[in-house]
Amino acid sequence: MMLTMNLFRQIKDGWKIRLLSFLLMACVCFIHCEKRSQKNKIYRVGILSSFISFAEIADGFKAGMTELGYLEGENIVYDTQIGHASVEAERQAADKFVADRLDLIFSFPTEAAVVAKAATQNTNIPVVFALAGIEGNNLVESVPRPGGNITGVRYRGPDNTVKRFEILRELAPDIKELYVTYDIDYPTNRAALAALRPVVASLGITLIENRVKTAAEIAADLQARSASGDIEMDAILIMPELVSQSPEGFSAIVEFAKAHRVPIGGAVLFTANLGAAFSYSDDFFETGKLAASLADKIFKGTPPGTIMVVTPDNYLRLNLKVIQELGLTVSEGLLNRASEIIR
Amino acid sequence: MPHSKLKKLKKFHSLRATLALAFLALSTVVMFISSGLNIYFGLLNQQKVIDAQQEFIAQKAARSVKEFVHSKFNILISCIDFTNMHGASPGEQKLALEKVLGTEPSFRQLMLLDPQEKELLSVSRLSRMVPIHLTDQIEQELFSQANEGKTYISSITIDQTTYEPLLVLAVPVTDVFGDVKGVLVAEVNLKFLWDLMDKIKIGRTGLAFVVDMQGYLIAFSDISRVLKRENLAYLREVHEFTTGNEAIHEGRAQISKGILNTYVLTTHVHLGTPNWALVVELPIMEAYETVLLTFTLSILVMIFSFILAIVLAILLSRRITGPIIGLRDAVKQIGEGHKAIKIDVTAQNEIGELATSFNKMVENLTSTTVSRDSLIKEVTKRKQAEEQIKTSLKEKEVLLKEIHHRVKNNMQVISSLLSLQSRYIKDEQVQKAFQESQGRVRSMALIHEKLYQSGDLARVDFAEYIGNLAEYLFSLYSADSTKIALTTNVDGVSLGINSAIPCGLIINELVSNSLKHAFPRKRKGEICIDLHRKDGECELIVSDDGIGFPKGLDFQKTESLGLQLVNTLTQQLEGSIELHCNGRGTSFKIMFGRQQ
Repeated sequence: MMLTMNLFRQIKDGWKIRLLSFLLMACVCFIHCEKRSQKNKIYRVGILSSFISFAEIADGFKAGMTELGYLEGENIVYDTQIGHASVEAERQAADKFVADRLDLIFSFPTEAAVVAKAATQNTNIPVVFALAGIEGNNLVESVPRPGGNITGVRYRGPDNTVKRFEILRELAPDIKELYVTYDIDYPTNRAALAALRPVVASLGITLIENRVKTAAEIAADLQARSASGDIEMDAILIMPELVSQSPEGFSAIVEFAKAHRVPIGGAVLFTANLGAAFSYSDDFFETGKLAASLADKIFKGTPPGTIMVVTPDNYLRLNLKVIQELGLTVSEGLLNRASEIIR
Repeated sequence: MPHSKLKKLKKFHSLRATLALAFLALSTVVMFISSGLNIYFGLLNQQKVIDAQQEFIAQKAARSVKEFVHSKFNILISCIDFTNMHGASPGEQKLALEKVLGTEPSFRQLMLLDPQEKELLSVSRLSRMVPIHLTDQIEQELFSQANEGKTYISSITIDQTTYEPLLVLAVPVTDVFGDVKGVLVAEVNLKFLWDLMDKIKIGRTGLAFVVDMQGYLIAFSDISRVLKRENLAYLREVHEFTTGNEAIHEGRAQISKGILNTYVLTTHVHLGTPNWALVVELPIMEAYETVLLTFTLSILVMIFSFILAIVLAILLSRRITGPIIGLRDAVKQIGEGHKAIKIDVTAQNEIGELATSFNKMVENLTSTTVSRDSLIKEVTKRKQAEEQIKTSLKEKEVLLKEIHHRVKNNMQVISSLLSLQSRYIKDEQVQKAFQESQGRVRSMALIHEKLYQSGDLARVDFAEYIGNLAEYLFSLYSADSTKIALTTNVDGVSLGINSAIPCGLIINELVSNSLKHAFPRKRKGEICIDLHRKDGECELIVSDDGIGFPKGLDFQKTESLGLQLVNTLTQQLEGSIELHCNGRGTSFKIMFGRQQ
């Protein structure tokens, strides 16, 4: 006891050192606790998409997040809302994400991205989009600086549509009438058509536009054309939108094309597997992974609006079987440029 | 020196605490010096290892980047060589270029130019709506380089639609003689270099990026920063590259702020061709992980050693000071009166010897204390006896006083009885005899009164007695004090009861004689009583200036009872008496009490 008392007495005057030590220890504890809380945080991510066919993007996103250290069930959980039948249903899902105060909403394609942006307008919930056209819909302010609480992986948009037309023409150089069917309300169609129309016209080709709102209308129009005896088209170009690439819409188109031996220039990659002569678009899985890298940056503190919108690579998938069935000749150059050939 | 300072200097310091602190300080200093040196040299060695590792990583990463660009050149050169580009037909040339485009995804456009800088053919991944055309990016330097048979690398440009970084490579098309017959130009999408950069792993959390000669970021995992055309010349490592001061750190990795604005261990490698640099950054925490681990372990060991040193210091100080503190406590206890104290002697050293000596001292002290105690008991007994005696004496004094008081009262009663009796006596002679007897009784009673009023009950203060006696006698014989003066001259003489009563009776007789016979017919005069010590004897002189002693009368053979009493009492006092008659009254001088 005496020893303790003396020791205490002898260090009694060193209160500054003790205070400094105390503050240092407190800082270390605070930083340690902060790091620990950051490390232990479980991120909640909402995945919003209207179209089940785009689910591969979500897979790519999850795979990308896993590669970046976000393990599902451990430090990240997903609330996946894919396959909503209407825009209203998507809006409700997005509102629920906002109400649940999720840490991030990952949405694709364009329509879902627009809905997610609108739902999070007055919140701090960041939105990462994928496969979304950014032209003509005010989704972002600019590619290098998207602004607001949003960033993502863009869909190449108008130039992709033109490029698809060019590839289609390489396969079928004698096209005189080109058929496009699209949802008149879909946000990216306006810009894509604005780019396509002059190119098509410059080559003396007639662009036949069928504006619809549902897949049934596509089927009805094609049935009408079949019934009339003159289908008035040499090729079909798929627009980067939902109605024509929905299971019902696209199957009607494929059925019609098969019946009348009309080549289809597909947009998203899976269309080449379902009957298009080729498809030229982003790789969904890779797109999802690219989006994951953006989400990681947001989680690490970068404001979404300052993260540049990423432009993905395009992939050309040729369906040689369909091409040959149609009796088309594919150049060696095109075959060399293809990312994937289905035989 | 102020008192407080002195007090502070003299503050108590426990020997145990002082020893413990001294031991602790000593061991801590040794421990810190040895650990510090160990850490320092370990750090130096580790720094060399880290430098070598960093250099190795940078060189490896640089090779990958270099190979990326060189592979593009090799593809173009191979295309030219294997297809005989100069001699091939336009169809063959286009097919060759399309094959290259299909083979290498990083090529966005390819173009074949003739020696006159005219476009022969081109292939592109882009649609025709894209405004960027390869010819817009071709600089004059490309042709001058190609004409010299050299390859060409442009600076980086950004596609304003996709914001992708683009690079133009050019390879001269030559014939078998080596003459330049054209130029094969390729637009390379550097986004593929980014993929490559992503695959380059620098440690666990390190990163690498590529800058051009102006310091612009060419490849980095954060694409947005590349697309912003960020200039990193402000970074120390990049600055050294752009300014050509590459020898500053002589290949050693250095600590500076990195691209993420954090402190990193960084180094760069100049790629040569292209004229770029690859910068490698490793976070300090990771780079010095081993050092930190070693340092942490050393600190832990030091902390453990420190705790151990504290425990050992306490134990050792206890071991050393235990017997001393035992001695101190024993001394304290002895000081408090405890005697049955013995220290257990365990140490075979000086302290053990001290404890043994102490035990012996305690034994001796105990025996000494026993003697003292018996003495104290004896003294106490005596004190008690003395107290008893004092009490008894006090009681006796009281008793004696009471006796004297009663004797005095009785004598006063006798005197009063004589006085009362004398009132009924008609005969003047008898009345006088009564009066004289009354005076004698009164003189003796006064002695007893003075005795019990005195402090020691044994001696009478004669100055006060003589005054009182004379006053009484003046009153008894109705002497006029205005005519007969009384002068007493007594020098603090006190007498025992054996001398006091005879002396008092003598004075009574002689003063009574003077009052009765010396001043007839109301004659004025003076009576003097002197009592003082002289040559070890008491000298009593009773004189008057009266008519004098009758001539022819022998005072020693007279019939007067009074004078007979005076002579008898003088003899009783073993004294001598002289009469002096010089014509001016009578003077009796009595010398007595030689032993007193």
